[in-house]
Amino acid sequence: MPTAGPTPVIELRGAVVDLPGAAPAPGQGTGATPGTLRILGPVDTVLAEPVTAVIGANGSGKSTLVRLLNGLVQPSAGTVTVHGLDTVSRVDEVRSRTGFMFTDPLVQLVMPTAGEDVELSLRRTIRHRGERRRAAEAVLAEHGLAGLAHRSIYDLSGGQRQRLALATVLATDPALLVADEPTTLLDLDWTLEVQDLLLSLPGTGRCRQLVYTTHDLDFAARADRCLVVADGRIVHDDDGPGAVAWYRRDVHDRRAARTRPGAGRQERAR
Amino acid sequence: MNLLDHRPGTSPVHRAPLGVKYAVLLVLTVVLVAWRQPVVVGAVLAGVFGLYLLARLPGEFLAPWRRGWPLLAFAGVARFASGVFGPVPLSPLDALGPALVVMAAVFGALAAARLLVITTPGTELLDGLAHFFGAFRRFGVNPEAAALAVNVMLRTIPWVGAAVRAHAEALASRGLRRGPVRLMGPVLVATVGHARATGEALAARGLPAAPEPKHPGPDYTRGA
Repeated sequence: MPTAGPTPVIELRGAVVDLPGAAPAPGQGTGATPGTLRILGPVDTVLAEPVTAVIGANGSGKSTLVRLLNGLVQPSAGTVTVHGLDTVSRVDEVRSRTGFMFTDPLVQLVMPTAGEDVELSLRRTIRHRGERRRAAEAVLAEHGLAGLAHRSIYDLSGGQRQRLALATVLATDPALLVADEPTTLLDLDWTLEVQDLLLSLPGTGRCRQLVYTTHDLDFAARADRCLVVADGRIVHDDDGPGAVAWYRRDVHDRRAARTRPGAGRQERAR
Repeated sequence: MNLLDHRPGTSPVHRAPLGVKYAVLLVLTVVLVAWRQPVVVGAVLAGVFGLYLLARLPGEFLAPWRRGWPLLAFAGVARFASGVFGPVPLSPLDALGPALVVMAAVFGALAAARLLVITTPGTELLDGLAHFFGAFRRFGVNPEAAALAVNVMLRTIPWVGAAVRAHAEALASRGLRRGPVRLMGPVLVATVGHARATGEALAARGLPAAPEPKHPGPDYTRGA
């Protein structure tokens, strides 16, 4: 692994996220101050692997955990450091080094056409309009979207849109790429396409690390490291296949416990 | 096709500098608003149609009427009512003329404004707006952010249209009749949700580029 620039390590030290809210849901605790709920943490971990997956139930805190990594969510207590940069005090630098890919590409794509959206990503680095347009066309061609520069984002297929969202993120050449359920809305062919592309990124260009959440356990198993999150905490930490095997067993054990007579949750297990 | 989507082309209208387009739009609109004589409004409408012809988009001229006729009809009815029931009551026949002129004037202004938007690529509009908002920099306006906000607003219109359709379908599938009052609440909530998500996505992309001032309001993401 090349090690140019700051040490490519993500550190979470006692990171906690509290949100305003009065009534805790089952499995939720209250936050440090009255009237808040703890939705994540405390989380203590160091991510040094090129590819890290995060899995867990809906609402377990996966998305919050990965949003901590680019300062979209800031810790209520504790610290989050990305490649040596604190996500609170140096959030602009963190964001300029971090790419974030959302589940729904339509949220992420803000310009009317594919080419213009890529240009928007390049605004910061290329001031000249003509140069920017040419660079955007090159980025599109690189991602198999050549000739779609003038196509409305509403007229692209779901897979093309997600591919375009990825292209706009990669156009900024991020050192860390964070993806929140990047394949949830895609068909199998595009799912595999996007998976392969994401997994191939660390080590190319400036990109050193990839962190993603997913419900696709085959995808999670391909990671170098996989965190299992439940009720806002990391409950298991292993390599990809190991963590996925643990998670499957855990879910099946819980379901089996629920169906046992007298467990009180039979109606859900039917 | 959306009402405000860019229609690429190489006509003189497409190639005209953005400043000229805005100047022409401003002149046409001021004339339409300030000088509501049937002859003048008719002449300006003919001029706007001429510009559509020049842009080789004559079929697009009537689109604001097809999509926005309730709005125009409302303006006409309002003018008609204020004529009939105004301080100097007119006979309904006399009030009809000014009402039609107002509708034609609003239509002309809409058509002219739309021609500017559909003959200019989005990035160029963005650059132009940023340039314009640059004049307000000393009042604390971040030109890039202001231009981006206008652009995002324009491009969210089709999204809101889709949200209205989706919620109407959801109501229909539950056997409820769709009505503007029933739709307004859910669509408003969905739109606020989309706005939040879009803001988050822009922040994640490091946009707008200039550092945003730390606002002093309550920050829920940090503990006290």
